[in-house]
Formats: sequence, structure tokens, C-alpha cells
Amino acid sequence: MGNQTDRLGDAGLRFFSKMTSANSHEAKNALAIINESAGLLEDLVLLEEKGQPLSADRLSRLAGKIRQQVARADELAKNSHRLAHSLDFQRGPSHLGRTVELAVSLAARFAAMARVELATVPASGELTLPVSTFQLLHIIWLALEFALDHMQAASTLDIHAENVPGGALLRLSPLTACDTTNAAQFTAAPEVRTLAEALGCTITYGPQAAELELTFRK
Amino acid sequence: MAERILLVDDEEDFLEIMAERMAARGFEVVTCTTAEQALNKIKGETFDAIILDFMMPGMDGMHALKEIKSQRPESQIILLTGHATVEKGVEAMKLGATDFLEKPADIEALEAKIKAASARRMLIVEEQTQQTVKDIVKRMGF
Repeated sequence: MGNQTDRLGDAGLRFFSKMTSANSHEAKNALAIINESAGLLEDLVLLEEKGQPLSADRLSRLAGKIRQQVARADELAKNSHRLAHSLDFQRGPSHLGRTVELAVSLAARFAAMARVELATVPASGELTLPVSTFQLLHIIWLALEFALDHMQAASTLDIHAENVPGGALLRLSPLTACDTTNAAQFTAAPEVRTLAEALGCTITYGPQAAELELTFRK
Repeated sequence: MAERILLVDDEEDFLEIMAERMAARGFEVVTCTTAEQALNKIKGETFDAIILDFMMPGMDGMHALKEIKSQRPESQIILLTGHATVEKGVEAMKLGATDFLEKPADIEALEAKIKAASARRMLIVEEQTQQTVKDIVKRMGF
């Protein structure tokens, strides 16, 4: 079974692996569009040589698409970088708002696959916690993953972080296809329990508003 | 006669550009952004080859492959994925995929695979037609 450190380490590796894989998969999609755009430019040049005039508007739109995909790939690279460097701060200070932003960004493709829109409500004020940034990111991801698995398609998940007396709170709502049994299973899962314990975090589910709340004690 | 292909991918930019390039190469191209749309399309239309993205919202490529093959067993399906692994390739072939390509794909290679798939499909359809004729002849007692 191993001790807490082993369990956190194994779970953390799985999380890191999953995020890295998803990111690289997305990067390949962006590269595929850039590749095809380059190919199309070559095709248009060949057609021009055969007498079909080049359209400036067409070229301009194509250039725009390439730029969009470059920006997309750049964002993916930045996310990978931030994920890797989240391991630098093992005892904080960890910025809850920024970590939520990164988690949401990493979850974007998964949300798209689940046909769920993620809406982050900007946090007011500075929310910092004296915890491992990587572990904080990991538990936020687990909460997001659980929420996505318990949402109806074509719905929106609101993600809201705020200061509360003695700590900070992260709220995910509404989990449109969740019940108290699902939520209890989630909070009892060994990976979730171990992380919550390490982070001084309590996870609760409010069935009336279908809210999943992570409360972090400072 | 131009080969008729169905491109299925949730990335609209990829679909648009790929469709234009394939049309410039003489293919008749139909596009869908979801597997569900593709399944509706194949009910009323036939395609020489179907190029199917592996990961899509809702129904994914593997599931779509199974559904398409159950409705149209003669379908020639080429799966496109961001990361091709041996395991994925084997699973896809077991489910009846004609081929499995990694993105970004070389368009000349894709073109050759589509033409080969189209020829295979024609053979299957020809065999089916011959069998149907034989069955009719037998039933009529000729």
C-alpha cells in the first residue's frame, strides 16, 4: 500500500502523465492544421502557375488561421511549462486563482469532449495558500474531472474561488448529473482523500444547489 | 468518376482546409464535425472512403467505426489520430478499419490510401452484386 508520500507520488505521476499526454495530443491537432495550411499554400501556388490567380483575401484568411493555431500551440506549450514548474513550490505560496486558471486551461479539451462549457468567475483579491502548487493543481483537476463526468452535455460549469475566514474556497456548480452517492464516492476515493489530507482541504457536496466545494484551511 | 469521401473531424479549420485540398485533387468531399452527423449521412449516401478522427466530443472515432461498420459493412474507414500507438492501431484494425494514420498526415499518402480503399470497396460491392444475381437466378430456377 505504501505511505502517504508514495501514494501522493504515484497519483501525482499519473496526473502529470495524463495532462502531458492530453497537451501533446492537442498540440498535434494544431500542428495538423498548420501542416495542411502550408500544403494548401503550396497547392494554391501550383494552381497559380497553371493560370488560376491567387486571391489576396484567401491568402489573408489562411494566414489568419495559421496564426490562430500558432497561438493555440503556444498556449499548450505554456500550460506544459506551468505544469512542470508547479512542482517548484512544494510548500507554497500557491496562488489559488492562478492555479484554478491553469487547471481550467488543462481541462479545456476534456470539457469540450464532454460538451460542457467551463466558466471561471474571476477571484477577487489575492488567494494564497501555504501548500504544494502541484498538489493543489492536482486536487482541482480531480474535482473538475469528477464534475465533467457528472454534468449533462450542453451545460455550463461555474468555477468560483474566494477567500473565506481562515482559508479559501473553491466552488464548482451546478453538477447537473450528480447525486450525494456519487459525491460521497468521490470524496472517499483514496487519491482524493490523501491529497485533501495533505492540503488541509475539506470537500463537501451540497445537493440542493448541486455544488462541490473545496475548502482550504490556511 | 471522382472518388467520394466523407471527412469526419470536430476541428472545423482542419476539415475546411483538408476538404479544399482533397477537392483540388479531384475527390468529391462531404464533411461532418461529429460522429453522429456522419452516421446520419451514411444512412442515405455512399462513400468510397471515410476519414474519421479518433478523438471527438460525444461519440469517439472507435465507437463511430463500430457503428458505421454495423450499418455499412463494406465501408472503408481510415482513422486519423494525434498519437498512433500499436495498441490503438491493432484495436482499430480488429474493429474493421482499413487504415490508421497519425496527424499531421502526408496528403499524398492519404490520397494513395483513399484510392486503395475505394478499389477495395468496389470489389466488395461487385462481389455482393454477383452474389445477389446468383441468388436471384437460383430462386427463379434458371
